[in-house]
Amino acid sequence: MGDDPLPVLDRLLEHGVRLAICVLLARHQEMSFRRFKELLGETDGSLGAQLRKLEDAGYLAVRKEFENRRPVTWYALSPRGRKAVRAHLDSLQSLIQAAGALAPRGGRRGDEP
Amino acid sequence: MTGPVHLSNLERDLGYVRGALDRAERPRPAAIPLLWAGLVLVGFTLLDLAPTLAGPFWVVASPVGFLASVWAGRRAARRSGVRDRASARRSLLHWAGLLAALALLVPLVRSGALAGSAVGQVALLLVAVGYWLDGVHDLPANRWVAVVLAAGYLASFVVQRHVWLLVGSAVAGALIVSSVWGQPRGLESPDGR
Repeated sequence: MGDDPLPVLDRLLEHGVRLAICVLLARHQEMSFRRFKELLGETDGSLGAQLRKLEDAGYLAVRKEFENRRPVTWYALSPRGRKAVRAHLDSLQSLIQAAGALAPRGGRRGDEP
Repeated sequence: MTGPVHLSNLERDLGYVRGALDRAERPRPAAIPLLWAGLVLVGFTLLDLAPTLAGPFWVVASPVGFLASVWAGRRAARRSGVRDRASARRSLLHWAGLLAALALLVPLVRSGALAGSAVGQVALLLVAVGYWLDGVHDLPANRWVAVVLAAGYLASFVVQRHVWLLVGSAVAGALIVSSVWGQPRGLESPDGR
């Protein structure tokens, strides 16, 4: 059951780091690069690449400012990104509900012998 | 932009997202409760030692303290790298509402309907409710500040000498404790890329 392809999700958000970035922004509106790095435990290069993919897709709005003479990059979800995250999370919820309905009664997936 | 998905990967990704969300708390600048601890200590001491100065002190200190708290909150958000505007707006409306309620006591005092130690007692009760509601809806540490405020309110009926000095010290102590307790780890680091 776990290997069945389910063609309903946003491919860009199927990546854990990109999904976490979008969900964090949906919850907290605006976050800096440094804070993402602390929360997600990614390297500068890896995190920058994931943020750029989301930015290129039009999911993120980026703003730069200076704090104590140091540049700080702030990220927020664009209206398109917000819509995409909502649709993706709705699909995930449907998927989880479907998986729950198909799971053997009285046990979790993976409990089977 | 759709594609296939495998439930085994999904479970791992959702666990990762959950962990990130759990760690991403809104900044709670310790400067705010520490600022109010100082104001409370001075303002309450004046009620006992120089009562005529206490009213003018609070008329100035309350709005100045409020504005300083807003500034400290914004500064902490900038430094922590989390700008949660909806949550900041909720906090602003909550505390502005309390400030407005305290300002609305002025007509009661001017009309003589509220006088003497009752002014301080009613103000204390309003502030206790404000802290309690904030503790229930936002920062749990503030529930204990509310309990201390309420205890101070009750003590004001019993204790005869230097009651406001006693209550002010207890409330300032509770605020100092909440400044430590309510501070998430790792949010005060300077930001930059």
